[in-house]
Amino acid sequence: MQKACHCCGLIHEVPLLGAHQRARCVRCCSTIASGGSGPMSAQRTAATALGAFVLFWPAVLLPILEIERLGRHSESSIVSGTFELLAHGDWVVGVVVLLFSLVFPLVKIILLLELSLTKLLHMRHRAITYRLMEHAGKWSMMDVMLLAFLVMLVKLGKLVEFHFGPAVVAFVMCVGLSMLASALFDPHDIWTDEDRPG
Amino acid sequence: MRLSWWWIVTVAALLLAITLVAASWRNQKPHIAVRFTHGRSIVPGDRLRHRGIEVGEVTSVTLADDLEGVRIAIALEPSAWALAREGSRFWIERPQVSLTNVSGLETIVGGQYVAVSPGPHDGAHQTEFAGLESPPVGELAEGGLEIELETTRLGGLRPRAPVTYRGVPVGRITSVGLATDAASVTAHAFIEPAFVKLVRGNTQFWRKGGLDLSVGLTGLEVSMESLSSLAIGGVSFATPDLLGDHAKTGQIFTLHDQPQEDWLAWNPRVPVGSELLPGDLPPPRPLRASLRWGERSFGFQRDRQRQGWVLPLEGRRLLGPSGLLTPNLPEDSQAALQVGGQEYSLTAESPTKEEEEGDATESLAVLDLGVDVARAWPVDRIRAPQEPEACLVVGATNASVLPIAASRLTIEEEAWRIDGSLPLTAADYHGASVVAVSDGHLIGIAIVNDRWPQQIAVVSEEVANRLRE
Repeated sequence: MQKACHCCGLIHEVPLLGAHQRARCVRCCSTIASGGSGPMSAQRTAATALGAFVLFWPAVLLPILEIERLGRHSESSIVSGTFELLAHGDWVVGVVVLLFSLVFPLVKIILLLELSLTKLLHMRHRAITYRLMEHAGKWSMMDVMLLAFLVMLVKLGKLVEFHFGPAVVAFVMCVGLSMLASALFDPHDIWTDEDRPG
Repeated sequence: MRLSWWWIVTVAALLLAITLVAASWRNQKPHIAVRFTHGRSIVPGDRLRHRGIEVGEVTSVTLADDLEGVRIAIALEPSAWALAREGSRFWIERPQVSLTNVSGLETIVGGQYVAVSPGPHDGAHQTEFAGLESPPVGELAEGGLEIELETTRLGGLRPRAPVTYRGVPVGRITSVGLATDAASVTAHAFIEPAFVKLVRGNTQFWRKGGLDLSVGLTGLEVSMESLSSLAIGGVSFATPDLLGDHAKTGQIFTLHDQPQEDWLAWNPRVPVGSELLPGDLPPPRPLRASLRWGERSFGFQRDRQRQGWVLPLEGRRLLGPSGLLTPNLPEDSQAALQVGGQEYSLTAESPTKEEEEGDATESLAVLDLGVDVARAWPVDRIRAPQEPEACLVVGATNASVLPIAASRLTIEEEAWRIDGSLPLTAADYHGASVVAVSDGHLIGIAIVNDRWPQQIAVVSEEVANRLRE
C-alpha cells in the first residue's frame, strides 16, 4: 500500500512486512512502518491507555497535597483544588486547570482507548476520533502540572510543611502511561485493516 | 488472538490504583457528631482535646435539623477512634472565671476547643452524641470517698469548695442543694483517695470560710484558711484521737457552723502516705541529709556537698546511700554529715565500709551513729526481698509517694533497675525509702543520681541479719 512519510512527506509503496522488518523513508530515514504489528500494536496502545485511564481517577481524586501550617492540617486533591479555585472566584486559573489538567487529558486517554480497542468502527469515525485525539493531546498538560508542584515544593518547603499525598504516584504514572500510549499508537492502523483483503 | 505482554502494564496500573485507594481509605478519619444547644462560637478548625493533646478537629458546625440545637461534626484522629463510645461526654471548654471556679483559662489565648471525657471501657461504639452544656464538675478519682453533709443553711457552700484537714485541702464539695424534703441543705463531698483514712465515724465537720474576726483585749485577730475559702467558703474536719470506724460511702455527717474548742486540739496519728499500704501501717519518714567535705585540688580548697534522704533505724543507726553515709574520702579529710538538724563528723577511719571498687554504683549503707535520732523505723519491719515486687518510694511528704509496679523493675547485679520512664529526680528521691506494698516492710532505698541509671539498692540478707542483731 502507499504511505507517506510522516516526517518529510515522501510517498512510498510499502509491501507487506514480516515480523521484525521495518520500512524506512528513502529521503529522511525515519521509520514509516514496522511489520508484524497489526493487532499487537493496537493491544500495546490499548494496554497502556487503559492503564492510564485506571490511574487517572486516583490521581485526580485522592489527596495530592498535604499542607501543615501553624498546626492546621489541610489536604486537597486536584479535583477539590480546582473546585475551590472556581468557588473562590478565580475563574481564569480555575478554568485553565479544569480544562488542561482534567478535561483534555481525560479526553485524550478515552479517545486513544476507543481507537485502539474498537477496530470494528467505521473508518471515517475512527479518522475523526483520531483527529480529535491529536488536538486534545496537544492541550493535555498534566506534565506541566508536575513541574508546578516541583516549584511549589522548592519554594514553599521553608514556609509550610508540605507533603505529597498518595495521588502523586498515580499522577506521575498516569502521565507516563498516557505519553507512552500516544507514542505506541500507529495511526496508519486505522486504514491498514480496510486495505487488507478479507 | 494472542495477548500481548503489554497487558501486564494495565494490570500493574490497576493494582497500583487499588493499593493507593485502599491505603487512603485506611487513613480516613472517623467522623462523629455532637449536638449542643449552644454553639459558643466554635468554628470549623477548632480542635477536640483530651488529656491536653489534640485528638480531633471540628469539620463543620451547622444548625440541627429541628433548629433547636447545633450539630458539630468532628473528625477524629485514627488513634483516638476508641474515644467515640457510649457514655463519652463532650463539652466545649471555655474560660470560666467565677468566685467558685477559675478554669479553662488556656482557651483565652489558645482558642476554644471541644473536650471529651471517655465513657466506660466496654461501651459500644457510637457516632452521634449529645454534648454537655457546661464542663462537668471534675473527675472523681478512683478510690476516694463520697460522703454527705447536712446543715441548716447553705451559707457560702458551693460546688468545688475545698474540704480541708488542718488547712490542707483533702477533698472538695461536689454538689449542694436542698434535701429532698426541703428540711435541710445537703452537700455531697468527695475525699481524695490518699486521705480517706482521715474520715472516721466520729469525725466532726464544720463550716470554714470567709474571715474569722475576733476582737479582744489584745486587739483584732483576723484569720482565714485560704484564699479560695475566703471567697467560696469551705469545710474543715477533725477526727478524735480515739479513732472510730472508717467512714463508708454515703455516710451522713452534720455540718456544724463552728468548731468546738476541743475539736481543734485533736491530734490523732493517721498514716496518710498512700492508700496502697495495707491497713494502718505508717510509711517511713526519711530525713534529709547532706554530707559536706573539703577537697584540695591544685592548692585550692573546695567545699563539696552531697544530698539525699536517710532513714533513721532503731538502734541508733541510719540507712541511706553509701555515697552519703560511707563515702570514699581522701586521706586526712574530714566530712560532716548533717541529718535531722544535727551534725556528725566522719573521718576517713569511721566509715564501716570496704573500699569501693572503681566506679561501682552506690549501694545501701548502714551507719552507726551512736546517738538516737527521731522517727526511727523499727528493724522488724525490714526484710530482704527475693524478687522484684510492687513497692512505694517515699520521699518528702505524702504527696511525693511514687508507686512502682513489679513489671518496671529488672534485676541488675545486686540492685533492681527502675524503668527509665518513671519520673524520679535526684533532688526528690535519692536515698528515699522503698517499702513493699504487700506488707509495708522496708525493702531498699532508691538510688537516683546522674552517674548511673535509677535503681533500688535492696536490703540483702546479710544486712537484714546484721540489723537484727
